[in-house]
Amino acid sequence: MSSFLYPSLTPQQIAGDHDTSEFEAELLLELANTVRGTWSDAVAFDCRSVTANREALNQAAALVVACATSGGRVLVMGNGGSACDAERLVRLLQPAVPARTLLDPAVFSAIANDVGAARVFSRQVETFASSRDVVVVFTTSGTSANVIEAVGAGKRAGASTIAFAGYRGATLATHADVDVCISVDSTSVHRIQEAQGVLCDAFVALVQAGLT
Amino acid sequence: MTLTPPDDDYNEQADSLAGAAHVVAARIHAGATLWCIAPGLDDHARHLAVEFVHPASVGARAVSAVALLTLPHDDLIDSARYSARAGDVIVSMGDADTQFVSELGERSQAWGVTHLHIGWSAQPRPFTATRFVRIGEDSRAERLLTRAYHLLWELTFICLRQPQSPVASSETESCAVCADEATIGEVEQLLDGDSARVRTAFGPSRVDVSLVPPLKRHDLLLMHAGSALRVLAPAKSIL
Repeated sequence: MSSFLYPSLTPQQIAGDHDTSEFEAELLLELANTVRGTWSDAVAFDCRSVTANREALNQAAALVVACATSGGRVLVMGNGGSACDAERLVRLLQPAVPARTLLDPAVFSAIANDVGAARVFSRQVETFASSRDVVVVFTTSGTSANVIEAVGAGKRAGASTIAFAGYRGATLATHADVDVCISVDSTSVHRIQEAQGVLCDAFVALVQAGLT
Repeated sequence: MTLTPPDDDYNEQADSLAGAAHVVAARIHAGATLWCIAPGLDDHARHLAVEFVHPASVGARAVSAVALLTLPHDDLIDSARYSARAGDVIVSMGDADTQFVSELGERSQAWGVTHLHIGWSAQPRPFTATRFVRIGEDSRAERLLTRAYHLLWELTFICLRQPQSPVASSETESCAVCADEATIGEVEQLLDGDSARVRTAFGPSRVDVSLVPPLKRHDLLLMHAGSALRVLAPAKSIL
């Protein structure tokens, strides 16, 4: 089936130096076609996500620029793959913007063990955040209890709050404690995180432009 | 703010990702651990590991995967050397045109480890002995890493769900003259006389080293029929 659609490809080209059975050859062609379709659709989706969030990205960047120019800090957090996206955002923002994650394993595990997983971020935000700071959360579901707790703690501390959320923002899209929600209209965790990566790049570019 | 669609050539990634996922699935099926390395980009190393350890898809099996985090170069090679076992997979990510990635590719053969690199390179194929998923020419491709390893996970699990278990064929080469296998080994210990104990993909081995210059620990050797024929890479080659 795949060889009919993509006659220029041979199983050997895909398999490299590995011998392949007929079953494996057909599977490899199917896998390659899956990549083509998914990648193409995802690139278009990324662009739509950026266009849909143009205003939110500008608002969020303005908050971070104001934070950086007034001596504030950006505190970033998320769970699982979103924790890694939080790390990446901090990497991209530094050193122009004082930013850090709230993902230290000793602190994280201590709070999770002694207080509970829902408080792993909010307890740190209560400790670190001030009115000059910005709290940034990543969540693919838009409903993660501990990030919702975190934005609440941030708001109580007087900080600004930004959410990157999938599922059209879900709970966080209209949450009173969220100043800006950058939402992704998808229910696929992978496609949400990839779009959030592109949104982060646009966000960081706007921040850098605002600081120059 | 001007935003334009990226002009990604995803056809290039399709074939290499498909082949890589099939090999990774075969190794996982046989009990491999995935070691994830991204020098200077630890967030991606952690992200890849967490995809396999705790898949977002409900019901997908957890796979042993560990992020090896960035340390000074030699320590990261050492981390890989002492962590990975024969049959495991090392996935490195980032700039392919580095001595680190090249050395990892060479030494993986001696360790019996499958090395996959996902990243960018100015050349279509920058090194040998490594499966390579090329996502761009320079560091601007960093934004594509996440999609590439998400797809690696997705394809790997398609392979693992097939009725026929994935099997990776041997990646060693045979001697054209005597059909014996040429193997690569890493010196672990110099022994008395003209011999050394080396680490190979098939376990520790004692080899005759009388044909090669004086050796040091971690020198990489090409071996055949119980003898070291050539030093492929010296220890501390990056210094």
